[in-house]
Amino acid sequence: METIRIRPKHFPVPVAPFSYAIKVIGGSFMFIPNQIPVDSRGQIVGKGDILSQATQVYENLKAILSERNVTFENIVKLTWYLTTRENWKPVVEVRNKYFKDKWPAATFVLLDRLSREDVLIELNAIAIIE
Amino acid sequence: MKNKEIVFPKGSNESSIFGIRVSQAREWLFIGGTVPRDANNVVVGKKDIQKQMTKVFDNLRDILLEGGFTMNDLVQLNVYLTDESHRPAYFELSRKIFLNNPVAQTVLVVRGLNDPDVLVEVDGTACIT
Repeated sequence: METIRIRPKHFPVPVAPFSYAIKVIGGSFMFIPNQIPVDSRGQIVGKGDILSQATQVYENLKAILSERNVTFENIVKLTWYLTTRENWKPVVEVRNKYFKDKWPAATFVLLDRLSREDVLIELNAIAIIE
Repeated sequence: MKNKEIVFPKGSNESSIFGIRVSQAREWLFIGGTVPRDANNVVVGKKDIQKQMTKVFDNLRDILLEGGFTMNDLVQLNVYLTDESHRPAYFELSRKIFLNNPVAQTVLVVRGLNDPDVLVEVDGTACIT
């Protein structure tokens, strides 16, 4: 399996931590549905607190990946949904704790509401497995 | 059997009712949110959806080509618009671009994207079998 991060020569170096696209040769995939900030009992954590919610969402993602010995470096696509633009920066702060330098192709979408009341962030991912 | 084919249900004349079957793909390309930014990272065509759509698809083509893919290799596309009045313009363009190579598209109207000046963003998946 090989992954290649794609940047056309005339494209600027991304200002945010993301890749324009990732090419994958071989390998298998894990498709992870939208994760919300719930704990293992299904309770929403950190009501009104984006840092806590973002951390919980990333911890849930980490737990899923760990089940197949996959790391954040194996994520090739990440889509994240927020309800307010002001939460973008704190979420990037949290995200930087989980990703080192191999950034996924990513999409950020701002929506009026997410799947449950009190949820400030959701994200889904595609990861590659050796 | 081909490794990639468009699957239409028997008896349907509706062109939007289809699926794309892919098997044994050699290479995949996962494309992140592509926005109408130029080489200087500046959003082009502020408040001009036509210019922005053109730039987004130019950028998408450049990304595909850099990876060794073409527009014909796209299998799935998400299109995010920030204004529902822009839908007709998008569908008109989409019909031209994807006339001969249907793509599994989802078009959504959302409240905002990564930059308030960005009116349209697309991400998607391509593969070569």
